[in-house]
Amino acid sequence: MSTPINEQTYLKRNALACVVLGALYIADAIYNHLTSSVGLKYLTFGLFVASIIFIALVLQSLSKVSKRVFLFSNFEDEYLNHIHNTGYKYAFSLIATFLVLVSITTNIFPHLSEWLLVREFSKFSAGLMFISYSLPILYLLRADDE
Amino acid sequence: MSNELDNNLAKLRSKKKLSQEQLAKQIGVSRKTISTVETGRFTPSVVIALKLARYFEVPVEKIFELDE
Repeated sequence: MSTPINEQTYLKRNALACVVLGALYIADAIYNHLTSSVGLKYLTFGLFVASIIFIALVLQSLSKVSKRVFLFSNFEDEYLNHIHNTGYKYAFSLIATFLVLVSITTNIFPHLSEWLLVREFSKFSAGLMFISYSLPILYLLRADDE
Repeated sequence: MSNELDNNLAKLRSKKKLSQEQLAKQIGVSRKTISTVETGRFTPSVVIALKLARYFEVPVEKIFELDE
């Protein structure tokens, strides 16, 4: 049954999974493209394991919310809907700014576009998008006024 | 926009000796919705405003008022 508490648990776990996935994508992109440090390799592996755990938690809480929440992100609780949309807004603004800046920079310095790998650049952008979506949600869901 | 709206939700709730959690359950929203409405960080829809008014048995204007 999709109660506000179940929806909040789902949204929180989803945001946490997105933070971990975002960090994983960014760490993996940096590891593959910039540095091959052992520390970063272990961090990437740790994030990979953590992301599996968080995805399992999201799937577990998914059974307690309606299909509309999962398919259309249509939360029955107004505030949860509001912060979910806020997350989208931040993600769109950040990724759009980032892509425009990269586009301008590579126009000014064409040799940079040869240096950028599509695969790693996509990973980095996806990571940035996941994190910019989830951090505002976690901030707005913080436990205050208890 | 939300700064222009003042509300007496916390006062009405404490008169009834209800916690945010209890009120949230009665209205069918999350506790977060109640707490953010009370602190003015979130402006609820007309539906929630009407549900609150019906629950407290007061006109909506007694709960929400424009801060002029």
